[in-house]
Amino acid sequence: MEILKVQKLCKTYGTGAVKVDALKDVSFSLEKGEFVAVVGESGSGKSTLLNCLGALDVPTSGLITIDRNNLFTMKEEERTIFRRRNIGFIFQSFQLVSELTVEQNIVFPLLLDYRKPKSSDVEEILELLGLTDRRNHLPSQLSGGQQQRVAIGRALITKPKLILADVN
Amino acid sequence: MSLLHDKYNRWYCIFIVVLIPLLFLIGLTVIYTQTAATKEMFLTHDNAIATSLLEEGVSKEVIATALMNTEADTTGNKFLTEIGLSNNTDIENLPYVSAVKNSTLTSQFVMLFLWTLLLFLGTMLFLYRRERLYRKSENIIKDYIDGNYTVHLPQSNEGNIYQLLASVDQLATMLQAENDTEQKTKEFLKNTISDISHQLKTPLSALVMYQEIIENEPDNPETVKEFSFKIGTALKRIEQLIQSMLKITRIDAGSIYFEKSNYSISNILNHAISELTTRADNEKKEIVIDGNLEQMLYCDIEWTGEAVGNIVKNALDHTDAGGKITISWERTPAMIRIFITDNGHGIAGEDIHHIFKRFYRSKNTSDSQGIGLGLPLAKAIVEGQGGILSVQSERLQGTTFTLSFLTES
Repeated sequence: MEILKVQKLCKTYGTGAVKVDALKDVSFSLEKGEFVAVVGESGSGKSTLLNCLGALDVPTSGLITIDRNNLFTMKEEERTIFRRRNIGFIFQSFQLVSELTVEQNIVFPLLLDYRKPKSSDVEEILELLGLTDRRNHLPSQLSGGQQQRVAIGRALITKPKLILADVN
Repeated sequence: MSLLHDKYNRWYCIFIVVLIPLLFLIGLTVIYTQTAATKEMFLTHDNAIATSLLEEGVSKEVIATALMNTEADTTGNKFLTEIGLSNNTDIENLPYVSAVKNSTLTSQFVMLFLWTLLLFLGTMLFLYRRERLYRKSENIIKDYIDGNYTVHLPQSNEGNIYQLLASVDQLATMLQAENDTEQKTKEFLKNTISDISHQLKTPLSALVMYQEIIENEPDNPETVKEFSFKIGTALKRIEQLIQSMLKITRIDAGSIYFEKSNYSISNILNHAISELTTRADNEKKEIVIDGNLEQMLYCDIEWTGEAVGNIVKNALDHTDAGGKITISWERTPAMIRIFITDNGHGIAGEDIHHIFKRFYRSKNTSDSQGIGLGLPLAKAIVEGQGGILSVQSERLQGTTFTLSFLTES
């Protein structure tokens, strides 16, 4: 089953002399359950692609459909909600909320959607990521790897259709 | 208040919040008009009394005192009762009071009617919007039930109902994926069965034929010998097929337990190719083992040997006389890799993605011996032990199979 489809995606930054084609006619598709890595040198547009797929950035032209929902025919507000419910994003720099504990950081996306986190789901993710005994720590009290695992947990909690990980 | 996250709930609540002060306003207006009407009635009544008394010639002072008097007494009460004016008197007989009643009633009725109409219309609109959403969702869910997953439930909105719809949509996606997998499994099973029956049928029909020939010519020892030999070959082919099938299905079913231990790689390789060296000699091909003889690998020697054997057998199948098959290995801090390289025909570009598929036979190959299970079995064995089997090939230059295992630490 096709979960992600990208057609002729283009993203251009700037105009005239400073024009940069970050993405040029990118087309591919992904099956459900498939794992794909995008490899390329620095500045080749990996992060731009991921930001477009994650509906964090708007492409100059082209089409992105996630589970047959066209991302860019939605209104901004709809897109925000769609992203919250369907896409998990792991940022290069984790982007954890420093005032919240590990557990609160993980359930944060659910709270944004006004949903109550199921404690068994939270336990499962903490267990899976080996963070059970760190649940009440603040991000500043964790190592880089542990912070990354919290970021992964935060991407998993909503059971998204698509997980995008921007890691280097 | 999660109720208010829903757009329509919010609008409805705002509507109610606006209507309530309106109701208070209506009440105030009614009180105001009622007071005005009472005042008017009072003055008209006083006017009537004054007019009547003046006509009777009563002095103005007496009338003024009477009208300004605020003390009510039983004597007055008694007199009024005598002329038929008491609390029991029908309002219809008091023209002034009934006029007040009528005007109040009309104004109050009209305003309350309008207010109720407003409430009713707002509520109906709200319920109609909801109803429309429910109907739409129901139709889409019916589509899902019929197996049409091209439609989507409205889900990109705030509110409980949209969360519910989003969950249903997720369920539909899962169902669709499940359906797809089931379809693929069925297809795979169908193909596998047809492949197996095809692979069994060929040697079986040959067997039947050979047996008939021997039966018809029992007196000719040459023929009996020749066809007995052919029977042997056909039986071996069937046996090999069944053995491979059993092994691969046992690995699939997870009923194989790999008895892992530390073995030197040269030991494993010798174990693997011991039965193939004779064949290589016969076909004038060379098998070279080249690497650090001390290097150990943590694996199951029987199964790993089987995997390597299958790959080497495949290499022998696809090299010409004088070919060379080199088995080498290297250890990096993370991995131990065994390379099996031949200088044979190579694998065509259109085949390379399929060679690990069961029963896959290249259209380009002239060899008819293979049954298309050797490489899939090797892959299943390597992956079953947590390794990776990969292939690189250059047409007419040769092929390299790489078995990669993580180092144990």
